Amino acid sequence: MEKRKKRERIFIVFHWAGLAFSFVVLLIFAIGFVFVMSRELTQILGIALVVAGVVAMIQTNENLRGLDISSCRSQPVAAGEDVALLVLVRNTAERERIGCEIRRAIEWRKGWPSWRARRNVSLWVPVFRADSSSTHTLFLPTQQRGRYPIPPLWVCSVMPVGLCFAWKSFLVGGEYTVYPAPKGIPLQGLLRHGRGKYVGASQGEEDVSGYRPYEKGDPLSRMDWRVFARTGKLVIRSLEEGGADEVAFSWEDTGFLRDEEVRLEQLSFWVAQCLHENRPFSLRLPAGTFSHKNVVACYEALATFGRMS
Amino acid sequence: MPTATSSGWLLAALLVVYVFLLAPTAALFLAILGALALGGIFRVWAVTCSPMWGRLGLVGGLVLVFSLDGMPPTTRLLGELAGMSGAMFLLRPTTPARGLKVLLCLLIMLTAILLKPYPPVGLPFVLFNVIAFLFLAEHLHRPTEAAISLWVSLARSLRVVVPVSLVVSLIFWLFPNLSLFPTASLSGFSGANVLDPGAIAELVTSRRVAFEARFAKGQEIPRASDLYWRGQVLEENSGLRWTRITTSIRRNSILQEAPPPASGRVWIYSQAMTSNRSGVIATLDHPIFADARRLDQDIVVIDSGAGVLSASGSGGLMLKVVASKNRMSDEPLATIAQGCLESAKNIDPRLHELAESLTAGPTTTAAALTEVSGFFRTSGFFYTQRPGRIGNLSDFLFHARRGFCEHYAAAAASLLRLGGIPARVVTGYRGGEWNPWLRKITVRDSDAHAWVEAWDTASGEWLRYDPTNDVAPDLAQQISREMDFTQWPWYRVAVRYSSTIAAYANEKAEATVASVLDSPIWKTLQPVMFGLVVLLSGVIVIRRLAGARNATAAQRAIALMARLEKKGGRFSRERRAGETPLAWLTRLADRAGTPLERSRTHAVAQTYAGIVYAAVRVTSLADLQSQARALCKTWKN
Repeated sequence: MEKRKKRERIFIVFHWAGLAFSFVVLLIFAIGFVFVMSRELTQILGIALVVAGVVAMIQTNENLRGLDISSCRSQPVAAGEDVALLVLVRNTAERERIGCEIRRAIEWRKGWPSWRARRNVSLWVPVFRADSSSTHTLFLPTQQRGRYPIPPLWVCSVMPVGLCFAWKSFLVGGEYTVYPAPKGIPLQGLLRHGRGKYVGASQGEEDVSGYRPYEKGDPLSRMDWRVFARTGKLVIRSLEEGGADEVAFSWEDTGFLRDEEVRLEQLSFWVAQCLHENRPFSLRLPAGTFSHKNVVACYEALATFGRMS
Repeated sequence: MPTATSSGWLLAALLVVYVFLLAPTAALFLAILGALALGGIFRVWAVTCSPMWGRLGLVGGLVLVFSLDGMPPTTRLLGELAGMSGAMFLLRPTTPARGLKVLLCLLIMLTAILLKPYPPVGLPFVLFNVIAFLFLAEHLHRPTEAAISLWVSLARSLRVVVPVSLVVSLIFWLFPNLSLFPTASLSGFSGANVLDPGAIAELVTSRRVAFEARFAKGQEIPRASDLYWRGQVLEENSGLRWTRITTSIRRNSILQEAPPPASGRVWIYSQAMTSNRSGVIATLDHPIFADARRLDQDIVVIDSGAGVLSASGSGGLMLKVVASKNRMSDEPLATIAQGCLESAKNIDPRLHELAESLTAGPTTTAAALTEVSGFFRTSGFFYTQRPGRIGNLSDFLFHARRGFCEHYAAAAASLLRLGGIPARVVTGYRGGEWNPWLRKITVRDSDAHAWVEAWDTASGEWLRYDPTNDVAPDLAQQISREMDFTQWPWYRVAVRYSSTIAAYANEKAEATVASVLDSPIWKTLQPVMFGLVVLLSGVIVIRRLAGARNATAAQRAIALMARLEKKGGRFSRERRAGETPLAWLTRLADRAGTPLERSRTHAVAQTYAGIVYAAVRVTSLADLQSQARALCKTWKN
């Protein structure tokens, strides 16, 4: 049975080179019209170039056919840093697709973006192999904390001739979290201020509540090497809430700072420090208490603090 | 985006070919060739010698060309400027964007080549150029990760080439008038001394411009019915075939020595044309004065009598013509009169009967012409440019009854002669393409026409009679519509007006440039500019030499690294955008296929860092050179 082509929405406009090409073709026609010593040849040249331009346009369209963004995931990121979107692109076509870019959609209605903005949000993908999927990381700049919908993404290309710019738009859904930029004084400073506390810090021993199998990403400091030596199994010691080394800090602990955003940045800094030092922590906010066991929820709370989620 | 350094030389080679085709003898050719040859050196020595000097050299070359050769025509100037721009782009590494710019410059150059009076290239070259454009544009943009072999690339480009060729062929097949010959290419009178069935039919398919007639402001424009351009007069009759009578018979000359005063009885206009092998100058019927010039030299216009003018030699002709509205009143000399009564021998008796029946009643020539006209109008004759095989006059008049101007003119003149009225066939053109803004009539080969002149003894004049009007009155109406631009469709007015504006602007620009070049200021300025170019060239050479001598070891090392990068590119080891030389070498070392390659890459990196970045230089340039050579050998293996 004949395979029918799926209808896809692909937009095409002239690239700058295409505009220059059009100008040259018009020039050829105009010159041929006025001066010509051999109008026939200039007509042939002009018409052949017009047809070549149309064929180039069709081929640019073909180069995007079959490409599809299946999903898009991200990890929380601090404000000011680039959020990494993991974009899964599927090429269902029987041919490879070359020289494409994955980029944030240009929102024409909001005006033409600056050159810098356009350059920073695109990812060059030389080849999408035929009938395969691949994951690509697209970095988007962030400015303020919050939860943001993943913007519409484009897969675009000027291939194969560079005269036309074609794109396919994808609205993949989902959100990414931008938590406050970690700034402020370290935890030691907090303790000097007499706020916050090391729960059980003086006991010297950790309160082990149990063991669980090692998972990727677990801190190696929690690995029980004695069990490993005896059994060869990788196990992680689970600590009780308020166990040894756990730091508890709360929104009130940042009362020495006035601005709400600065206070959130301070909390973010402490969370980051704890994670960096593999230190268990608990963060108490008006919305609830969050611990190191669910860092993502913790960051989301910081990102959406005082805002409707 | 990828860089396509390998296409640089291909583009440079094409540019050289185009420059050679455009201006093989110009100094610009040498300038661009030199700059392209030095381009690689400029690139390698980018630290000491910026490509800017190459650009200055090119601009200097252009100035040199203009100061020595004078300002070239507009189209050539356009081509040379495009060539200069292309060469300037090629002085820097070829990126896809830059490569496309070079390709666009090449297209403009090709257009300039096509506009040369005798273009050195033809259709295959034009099509090759379009294919090369697509192929190179694709090659420039293809990422190295998706690189394919040349043959595969060519095979894939067929996917573009084949549809392009098919569509272009289809367009030209559907619209044959696209291949109109231009107004600037004048063919002159394309008729001959013989009127043979089929001769004019061949011309009708040709759209080549025969000549242009331009009427100055205030000069009267002929009416559509007066647009007969007199070429040759044929008096020897042998049925449908008519030939010019031998030159031993003199005709009355009607050409005057001096231009007659302007009056309501004359048309005054200027005519641009080329006199070709026949030498005949077709002018508005009928000329009484003609002043011809070729290359600003006066040319003698030969008057062969009966309003037939000719000029010796070949090439462009500019004429000032005064044509009379009066009928030609040169009474034929006795021999001519005799000749104008002679008919073909062994003629079909039915023709005699027909001629007598048409001319027996009327007492005047005009009345006889009316009878003949009525015969053609009412006897089922049909106008066609493809009448099929017609054997002789009888066959045409009694059986086929289909033909074109040639058949009708020959038949009408024959019938008149058989009826005892002196008659002759005149060949030339009829109508033309009217431009009301430039007051210009462009006459093409397809306007070729034949008509009849009959001698009216009573008035002592030759009466023009066009039998084609009797069988194809719509042709006359078509000429009337052409001369009245208010009857044109809007798109035709728009196109014709646009082309007029462009042509007028070009004329003005060329006239301005010509006046500047003729001015005394330019003559004074020319040697000064030449001196400046020489001075500038000297400065460039001195700066270059000084730069090379004073280059520090670090600069030389950087230049050496640039060469190494270039070689790396040939072995799929390109340096990425934004990657420093050391980062590049580190990446190469990490991905090295053999321990030897890794160690050599490390060695080059260390030596390079030692020369360029160390506070105290610890390694020598010679070491770096030898290590780079060794690394290149490893890559090759």
